[in-house]
Amino acid sequence: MGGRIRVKGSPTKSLAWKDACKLIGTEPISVDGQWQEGLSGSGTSGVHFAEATCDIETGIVKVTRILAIQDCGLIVDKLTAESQAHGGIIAAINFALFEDRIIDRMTGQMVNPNMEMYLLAGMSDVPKVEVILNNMPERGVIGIGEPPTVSTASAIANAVRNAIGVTIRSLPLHPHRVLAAIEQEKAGGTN
Amino acid sequence: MKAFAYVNPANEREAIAALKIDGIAMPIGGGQDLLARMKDYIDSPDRLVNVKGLDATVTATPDGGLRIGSAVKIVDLAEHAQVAKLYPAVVHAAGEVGTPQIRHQGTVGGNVNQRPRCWYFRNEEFVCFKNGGSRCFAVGGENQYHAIFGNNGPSHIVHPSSLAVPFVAYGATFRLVSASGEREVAAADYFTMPTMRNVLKENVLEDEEILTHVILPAPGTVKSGHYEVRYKQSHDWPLAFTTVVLTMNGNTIASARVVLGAVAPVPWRSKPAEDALAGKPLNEQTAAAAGDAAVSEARPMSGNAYKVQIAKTAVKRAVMNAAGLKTV
Repeated sequence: MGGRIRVKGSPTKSLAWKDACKLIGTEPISVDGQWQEGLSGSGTSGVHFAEATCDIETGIVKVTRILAIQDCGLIVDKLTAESQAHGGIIAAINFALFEDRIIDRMTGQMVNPNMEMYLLAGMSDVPKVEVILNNMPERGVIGIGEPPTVSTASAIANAVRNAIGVTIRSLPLHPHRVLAAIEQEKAGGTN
Repeated sequence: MKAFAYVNPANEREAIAALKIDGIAMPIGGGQDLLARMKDYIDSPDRLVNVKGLDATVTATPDGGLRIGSAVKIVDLAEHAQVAKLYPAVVHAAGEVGTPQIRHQGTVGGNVNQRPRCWYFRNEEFVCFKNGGSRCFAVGGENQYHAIFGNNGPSHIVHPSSLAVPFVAYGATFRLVSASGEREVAAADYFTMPTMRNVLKENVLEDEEILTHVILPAPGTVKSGHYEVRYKQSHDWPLAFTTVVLTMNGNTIASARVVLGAVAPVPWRSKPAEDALAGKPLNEQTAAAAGDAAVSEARPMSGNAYKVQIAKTAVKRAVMNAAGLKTV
């Protein structure tokens, strides 16, 4: 209070924040909290929408917009929860479009073990991402670590399907896969 | 990285003298390729000779062309008003190189002379032809980014330079300097197809020779276009790209130069595409016909047939770009 730490109930016993910190020394302060029954829930869900363009002459897919409605129960910290969803979505764009561990079929060695050849989205590859979190305190705290990465890639692949009329069943959506799928469709299709 | 000596010469003469040592000496421009090769133990020179201090200017030549110093930074080429006016495809290609950081460090000479990006060549575990070995691992291996033209071997790399392609298309000559004097080589003759004898190199530059200037002739009455296809939108190598330079007679194409990049061990000039353009009106139909003709002689490897379609599209769109037509 007023830059000072006071003993509860006795206002005369106080220390300046700086002086109080000096007393801590080099030992970290560690406090174990208690689990509060009923605050944590399980079971999470989300819906992701993707908008993508596909250049049918080159097979290049660009994701132009992602909208994520993500459930995480009680939102403890809105900024970090949204940021977590953004990170998960960008990771999902990476495995939808780019990430591929390419192994030399003759030697078993990975041929792209570096940041030049192992592709990850750059700034220009990341679309507009909107995250809508539903705050539902009555459900308690639910994880939002992995859930935002789950559905984005499928949404992107479905957007490409809607764009070109062909389902591509493996990721990443490399131009060779996209062009092959378009060729297959022209030749009579698979489904 | 092996320890090396560093020499900072004051001029061309000193630079050439510094390259002559008992051991391996290499010129270093922006170092965007060479330093990475040294860290990966693909090259381990004893001495580096800084050539960033050599001519870094763009000057007009008496015949109406431009003379570009090899030490010109790629970013300065990309933003050069006179280059943009006379050789728009050069500016376009320069602007798509790597990233802003790479364009601010990398030089024209370094871009032209960089070594192949082949993932076998770049990996010390694979001793391929270009690393003094006796095979090309792309054959029967992972060749999705390798050549679709000029695949007679022994090496199946694609030439990595973005600037080389418009330089060949505009009919540039390269000025090379060594202890025995200077010579000028047409850009088209500078890059060499791999043979068992010269597979360790991609061009005619000798070990103690420096590329000092790129000389572009007056462009004449031409329209030019450039189109690059990339998987990622930034910091990625093109899958295929094309520069076209069309000599115009009204709206009719009198003659054409079509050069493709990232598809062959050299910047690949396509005679079939040039023939398909000559005498035709400049429109979308002609552009599509040029694209089809350009890949008529493609010979893809086991895993890169998709690049044929991409190369075809790059040619078509480069011609449309020259015509001022919208491409996508």
